[in-house]
Amino acid sequence: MKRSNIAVVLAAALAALALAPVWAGGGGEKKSDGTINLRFSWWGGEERNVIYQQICDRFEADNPGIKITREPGSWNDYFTKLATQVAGGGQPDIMQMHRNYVKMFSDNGIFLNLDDPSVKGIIDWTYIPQVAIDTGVVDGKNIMINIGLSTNGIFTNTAILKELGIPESRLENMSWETFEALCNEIAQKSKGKYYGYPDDSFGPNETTLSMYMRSRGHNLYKEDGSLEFTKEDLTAWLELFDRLRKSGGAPAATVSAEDQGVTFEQSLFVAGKQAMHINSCNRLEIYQNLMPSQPLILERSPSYKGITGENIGSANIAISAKSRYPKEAAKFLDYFVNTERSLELYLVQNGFPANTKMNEYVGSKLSPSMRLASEFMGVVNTAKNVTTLPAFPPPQNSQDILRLLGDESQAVAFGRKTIARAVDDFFAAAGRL
Amino acid sequence: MGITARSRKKSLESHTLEAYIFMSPWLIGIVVLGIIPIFSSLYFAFTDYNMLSSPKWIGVKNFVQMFQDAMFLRSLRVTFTYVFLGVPLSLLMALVVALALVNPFKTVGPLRAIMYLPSLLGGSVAISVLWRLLFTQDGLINQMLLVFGIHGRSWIGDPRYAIYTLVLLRMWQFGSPMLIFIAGIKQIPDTLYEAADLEGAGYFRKLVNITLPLLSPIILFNGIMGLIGAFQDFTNAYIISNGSGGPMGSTMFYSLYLYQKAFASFKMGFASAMAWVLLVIIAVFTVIVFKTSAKRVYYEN
Repeated sequence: MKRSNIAVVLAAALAALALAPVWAGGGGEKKSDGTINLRFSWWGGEERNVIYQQICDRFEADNPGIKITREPGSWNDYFTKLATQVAGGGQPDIMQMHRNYVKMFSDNGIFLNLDDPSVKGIIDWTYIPQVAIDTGVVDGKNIMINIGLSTNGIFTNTAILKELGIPESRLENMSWETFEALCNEIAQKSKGKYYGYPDDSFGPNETTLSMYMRSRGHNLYKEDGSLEFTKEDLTAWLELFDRLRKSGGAPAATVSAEDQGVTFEQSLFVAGKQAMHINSCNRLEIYQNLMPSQPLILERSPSYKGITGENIGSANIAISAKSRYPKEAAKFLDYFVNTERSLELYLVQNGFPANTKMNEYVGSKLSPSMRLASEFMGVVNTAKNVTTLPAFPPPQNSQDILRLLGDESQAVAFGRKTIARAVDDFFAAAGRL
Repeated sequence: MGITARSRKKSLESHTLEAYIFMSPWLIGIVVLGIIPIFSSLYFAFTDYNMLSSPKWIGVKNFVQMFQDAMFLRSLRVTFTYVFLGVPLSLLMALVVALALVNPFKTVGPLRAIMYLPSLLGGSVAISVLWRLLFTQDGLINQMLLVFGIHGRSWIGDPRYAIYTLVLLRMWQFGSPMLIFIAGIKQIPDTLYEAADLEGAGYFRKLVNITLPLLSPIILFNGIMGLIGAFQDFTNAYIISNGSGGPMGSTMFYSLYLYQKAFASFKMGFASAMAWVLLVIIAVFTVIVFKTSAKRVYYEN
């Protein structure tokens, strides 16, 4: 071989190497030995990653010929990464999905309709109640399967109540007024050592915000994406937290600013400096493990004129419309939500199984704090005074709206704006979005 | 066989193909990862584009919207504060340390290396996390202040002060300009100082009349590089505010807001428009610095 030829070959190899990443990616490939490869992405912490990995391992063992490539991610950048993948046409075959983000993806036809003939009969819907199926229906299309139902409750640190001599019965059937009084009492009796509740207007905390508004009879958004809650609602909300900040029932603005910047393991609540906060009831176990000497209980959200704004939330999984192996992907979904092999590991990771049989099965395996959460779910499920969540998910720009509200709320918290001014500015700016 | 001029020319030509193929990884890189994205972003700047659906042409609407956006205007204010405080202060810091470390003494080598270290670390996530911990209510800084009986506040939790913790972090990264200053000072001919010594000039006289004028091109260079870098700073604000630019938008760097628009709100068109506006801003300020400094910078030839 002539020297120049060697050079050409070498250079060509280099060029190929440089181009390789451009051609890589894309979902659902078949290896030379006939194995089908499916990509599965989810968000979650270390604990969830371990559980999901084990479920994938079991699925592979039970379904020879299918391999699952796992793509774990953190909640903070999960949807950013997914959007980038979609933009490049390389989204995973199977994707964990959230109601608050589903709209921007579903509007662009990213997901496979699970009622599509190509996957018919693979997923067993027999034991999944219609309300749970509905959590995955967007614009009339069944695009996500439910992987856990949950509701929000007030996590309460009973050690703090005990120390201050406040009976737990004070937490029952709270209205927003008695809730406020309780927060103030906690601050006063502890001489500022403990806060009652976080300043959920600061971020704002979407869960508390939507619960508050729904208890007043309004959702955050209408179906066309415009705001449903009114200036009066928002004024009442900002005034509540303004009073709490001033009384010490909620932390001052600078403290909230610091609390926002840390992970939940380092939050004021876990540090035992704050008596209550709101969270998904299935996460009680995680918090209880972090603070073993401070028994936690769950209480229902405060009410407005007897009505509470709780809702049944869910996490879901969807299949990419671009997947080359939708049947196998559907098989994985079915395995994930309908088999004891999977649920034995999964338990209540994202909430309680929608499949009624599996929920019974999981029920026998629950730890004390999971059982507490399960009972709490039962209470909320059968309660008469609960509002229902709208059948449509939030609009595409809901995160922008929340950020905008956070800016205005912080201007109030730091004393830069009056509440009236902040409310007007928010509605004006939200209208321009 | 002797090589004639003609055959040499031919053999050179015959190698151009190989040359291009060898350069191809770089060429492909610059085209695929550089030129194409740059021009697509210029196109996206005039569209409504959310990454998922195809871009829609909307003319200059993004630019109009930008200047009606209160948070955008705040991000400009925050960035200007940061740049026009942080850059001169870090230059001053670099110059002072350079002057102290320019003359050789026993431990000058290790000392220069140690002084350079923050420049290597400053932009990292770990240092930003550390910075956070230093300036919280119960942070190290406040604990130190307490020794002197001063009750500090939450420096990063207060919108009035949060930006200054970032300016301080910028100041702390004086390593690269410091090294360039040291090299620059060493270039100044000794004869000038000797002549000044004969005239009986003191240290500050020499500093003001010899060192600074002859160093002025280097100061300009460091200033411009600092300016361009500071306008694009991102990591520090992102980590310290946990990506929010808070409290109350007080650490909302331009680049952080751009990132939020692009990757949290998925407004790629708006974000692209912001990127081009930033380019114009940096270009304008660079030109201004060049023009206003023309008379004050001394070039030997």
